[in-house]
Amino acid sequence: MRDRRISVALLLPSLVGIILFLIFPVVQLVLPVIFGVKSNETYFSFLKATYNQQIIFRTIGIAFVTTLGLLVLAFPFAFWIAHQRVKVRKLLSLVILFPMLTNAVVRNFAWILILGRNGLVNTLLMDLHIVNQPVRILYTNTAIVIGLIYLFFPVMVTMLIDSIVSLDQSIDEAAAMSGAGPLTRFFKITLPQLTTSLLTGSILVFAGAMTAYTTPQLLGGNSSLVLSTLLYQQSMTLGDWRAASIVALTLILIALASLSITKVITKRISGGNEV
Amino acid sequence: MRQKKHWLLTLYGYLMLLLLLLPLVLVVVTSFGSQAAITFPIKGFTLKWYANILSQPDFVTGFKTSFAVAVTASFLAIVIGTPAVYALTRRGIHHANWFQTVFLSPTLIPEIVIGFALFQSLVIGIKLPLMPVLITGHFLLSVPYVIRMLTARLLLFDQTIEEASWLSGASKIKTFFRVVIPNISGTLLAIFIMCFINSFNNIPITLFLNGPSLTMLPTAILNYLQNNYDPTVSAVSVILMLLTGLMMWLMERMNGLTHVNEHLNQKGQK
Amino acid sequence: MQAMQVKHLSMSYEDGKKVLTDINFSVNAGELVSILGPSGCGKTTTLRIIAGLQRQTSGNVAIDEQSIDSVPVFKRNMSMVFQNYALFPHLSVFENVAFGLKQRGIGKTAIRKRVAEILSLTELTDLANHRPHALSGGQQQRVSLARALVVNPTLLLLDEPLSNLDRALRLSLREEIRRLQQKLGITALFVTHDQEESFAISDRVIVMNGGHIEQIASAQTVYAHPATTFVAKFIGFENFFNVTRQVNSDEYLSGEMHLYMAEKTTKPAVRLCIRPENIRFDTSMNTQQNSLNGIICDKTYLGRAYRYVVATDHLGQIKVDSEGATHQLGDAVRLTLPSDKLIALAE
Repeated sequence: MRDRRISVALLLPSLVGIILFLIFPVVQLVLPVIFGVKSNETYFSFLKATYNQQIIFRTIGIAFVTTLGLLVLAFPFAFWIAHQRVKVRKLLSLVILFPMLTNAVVRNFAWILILGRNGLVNTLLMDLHIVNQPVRILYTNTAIVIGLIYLFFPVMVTMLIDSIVSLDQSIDEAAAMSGAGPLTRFFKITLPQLTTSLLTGSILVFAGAMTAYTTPQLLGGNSSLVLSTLLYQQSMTLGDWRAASIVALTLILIALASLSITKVITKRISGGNEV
Repeated sequence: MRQKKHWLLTLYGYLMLLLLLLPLVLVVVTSFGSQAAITFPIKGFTLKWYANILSQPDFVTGFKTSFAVAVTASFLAIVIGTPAVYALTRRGIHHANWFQTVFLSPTLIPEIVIGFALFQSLVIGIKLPLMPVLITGHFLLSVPYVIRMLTARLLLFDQTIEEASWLSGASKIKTFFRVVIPNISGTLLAIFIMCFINSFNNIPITLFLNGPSLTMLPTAILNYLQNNYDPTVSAVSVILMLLTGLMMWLMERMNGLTHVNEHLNQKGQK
Repeated sequence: MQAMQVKHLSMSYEDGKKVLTDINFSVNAGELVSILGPSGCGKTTTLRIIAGLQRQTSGNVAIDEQSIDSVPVFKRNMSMVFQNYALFPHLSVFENVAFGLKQRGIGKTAIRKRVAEILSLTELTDLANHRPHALSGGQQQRVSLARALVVNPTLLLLDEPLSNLDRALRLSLREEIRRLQQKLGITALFVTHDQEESFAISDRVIVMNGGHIEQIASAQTVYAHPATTFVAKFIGFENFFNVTRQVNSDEYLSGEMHLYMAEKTTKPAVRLCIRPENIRFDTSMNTQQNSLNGIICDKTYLGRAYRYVVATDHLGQIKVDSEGATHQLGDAVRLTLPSDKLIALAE
């Protein structure tokens, strides 16, 4: 009994903190949307508005392209790093960690310098006489996608490196002994073992891209709103709390859905390892 | 065949490495350009933009406040989170998974939503001043780092060492402070740094909880960027990168970066 | 004098799984008793309950007739040597050994003197300033032993202390533990799964299996007269013959075969057993007590002897260890089971 009281005393501060200051406020936020007066009507009328639909589709589209781009770009890079000597690999991991720990404003500002009207890309294009007028890249969906890929690239790469490194080398050797060539081995032996990490990594990045704020704010601006920037605009600029709450609920649902999918995948494939 | 594939992959590797670092190098380069508008290639060499940082009160006070908030929130998260982790890893708690999920829930809910929710219910709802709410928000951000990194460390720390201490006559509390803490101090420092970086850099939560009387550095830069496009931002960015570098160096000395990687693997950074 | 008693100790998990059932034994002052058993038999749990690291479901532990169930682990004045040493990684050898004395509020000079004594007894003086990670496994375990002895514990508990060491080290450290325990007159309880280790080190042996005690006796008694089938199997008996009927106090019937015992016994037996090395090959085919015919069906070289498996006409397959390599597969042989080597088992 005394033992139990001690356990409770140790757990209680964190538990109360999170319930009181996170779960309670969030529930308070979404309950009126779900159970309030004419809640269904408001929610569906929000979804029906063409403007909002555009934003939802844009958000999904951007996250989808970002994820796809990351899969294509990060996998070979991770593969390259994973096959370096341990010392080099550790050094490269540090190099990758640096942007990951650098302020998102800084990272996005770098892309403003590159993609802006007088930025690096436009300067190069005009100097080479490929275009006469600066091309508009900043404040487009493309800019957001580029920024998000840059933002999540290190995350995706580190995740993949770990699972590639932990692959059992002897399986590949056994396949080689049975006469499988390098390409066959890659597609029939290596890749199938990495499906879980590729899938969970993709879902993680997808959810992150759906809910990220700083990148779409700086590289998309008001001309290319996504759900998170819409949430801020509705609440703080326009003062429409109701609409903001609806957006918030949508974002929560997206996050929880991706979490559940990830859980199901990892449970099924790796036999219950927590993610 | 194998040789050729390897050669291509190496080229790709270096290319991506370049693309990863080039944007940051660009920021550094532009911070020294003497022209007020950032153009390529930069002209001249000056340090005046660094001096200009100091003439922006928002940046100076923002830095101080952000620093103070980050230190307070990280410290709180460690003080409050450590007992919980200890209970979860050592005391055979029922439904430990459930507790774990609750403690990690700040990573499950998008940060922008957390900011909005805190603002609506604590600032508007019960009229709390901004500062405590801001610290609360950053505390919430930090808790998952404490839970994950410390759980990993304590699971590696042989429990029989504590048992040996109890048998030697040291009470459980004494054992915790004399035996457990000295052995996990490196990890605790690494956790502190991770929480600090994360809190110091945070935007989505901070956005809702700052105000005219409460300036935070990342949002101050964000505001400055809406109206200006001069190398001052580059200069601030360089300072921030130096800070990141310093923190990484500190953690590397603590040998804690391996844990950091593990943690970041499981959480997308926003 | 009984220094420690365990009375009716039982322990089960919340899911109802029983770990210990009615454990009763005592350790006399200055005695070294070992608990011998396979992994999962409950020997470590028993030790941990005595130490106060785990709680029993019922029964109690007493020191000098006083129940200590309500005394927390850090006030029991016991010491433990763990299988994995469990040294404090952040403290030097000296500080590790001094730790317990410090908790007892002993003065600095007294601590220094006492630690120096123990370090010299355990031949660790030169390593006093080293950190544990700089030591070999054997050295670490000696530090652990010094740390346990320095506080002059009412009871020294040793939980498989030698299992992580290689054989040569195991033998020398085992002798050192015994030497120090006797020199300092410490009461000790030693848990192991290794019968040779248990026999070599202890005054008495407790054999445990499946959460209960099978036998408590001196090493010699356990070796020569195992009380149960489990004990017999655990300490190297390999030939077991079910008893169909007891003809006399010293004559049993196993199937068609009459087996005679040297000693008369009144206790009912269910099984007779004998070690492979105690069975003789007979050169003469004369009829004798406890003799039977068979054919060699397997032969393996074990190093110290050959292991023959003999298919007999009355008792099934019998394993025989013999130094001679004379018999070949398929040979017809005659075996004798010496009546003074046969053991009757009640269960």
